[in-house]
Amino acid sequence: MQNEATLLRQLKSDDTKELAFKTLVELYKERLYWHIRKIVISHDDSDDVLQNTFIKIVRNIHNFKGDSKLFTWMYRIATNEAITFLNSKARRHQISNGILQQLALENLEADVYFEGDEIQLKLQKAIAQLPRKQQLIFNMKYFDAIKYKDMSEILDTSEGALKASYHIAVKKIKSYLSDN
Amino acid sequence: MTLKSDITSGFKVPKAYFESFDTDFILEQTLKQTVSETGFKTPDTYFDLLEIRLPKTANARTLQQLNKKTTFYLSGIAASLVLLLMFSWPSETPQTLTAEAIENYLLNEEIQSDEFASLLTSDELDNFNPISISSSEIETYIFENAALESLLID
Repeated sequence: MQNEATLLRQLKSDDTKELAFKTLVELYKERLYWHIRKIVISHDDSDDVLQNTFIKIVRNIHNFKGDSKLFTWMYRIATNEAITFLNSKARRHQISNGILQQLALENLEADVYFEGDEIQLKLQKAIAQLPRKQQLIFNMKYFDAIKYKDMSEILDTSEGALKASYHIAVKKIKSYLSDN
Repeated sequence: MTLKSDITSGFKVPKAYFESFDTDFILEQTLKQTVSETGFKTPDTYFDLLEIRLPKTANARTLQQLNKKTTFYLSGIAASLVLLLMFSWPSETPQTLTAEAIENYLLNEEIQSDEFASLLTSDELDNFNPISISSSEIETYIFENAALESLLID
């Protein structure tokens, strides 16, 4: 895999940025997509947010100082873009974020891009019961196995708080699945 | 000379580290035995065909700023339209259009900044300032409406 520092240098140079950007997209498109998908649920919305995320990345790459890993910086942008997208959508439809998420889950059952069985659908419903930030923590750790140290950079939260939140999230989800 | 049998490395772990590690690990593993995948999928060739549609002009920043500003402009344009209609519409026609209705219409159409941008030249985009808005009005608007989370990373 290409060295991150080299890629970053190429992204910041006018001569190489176009090719470097294509490399960046190739490297991270799937990881960022699945991260976004778990937040916004629908494929079409995820595609929109992914586009916006990469546009924002290319627009802000000159401001990236290397204080964190490139991938955590990009995850942070993707997370913010996804949440902003949901907030805007809820505002546009004049409903709360909670209602918006419920509607997304109701649509999921008929979604051609969801092939989950009953328990997977129930898992999504269980995740939706968690507070927004706890949902992010659960998804990142449970499905993507992101290290607490990296998650700490992405969510700007201490590792201790993340561990505690994840522990509580898993317990709540287990409880929801056994009760429903 | 013999080594003392009670010599330790000196390393320590946080209190109850191993107990909580075991608990969390077991808790997670038992849940994963029940369900471990999301069930989401994508169209078959989605990642193969995925292209990031960067704004066409070299001045990407202007386009993105336009995206943020679009709401400002739409609000202003909507207000201007209402004023225009109020003063020029024949009196027998019911004046039911409000600034909010027009603003909602424009927002719900989901008009993208690229679509606006495609109607303008680069020079026009650079000098795009159709409405004069005071700093205090902008500040008030941002506090009440803008998605501050996304602005924080800029």
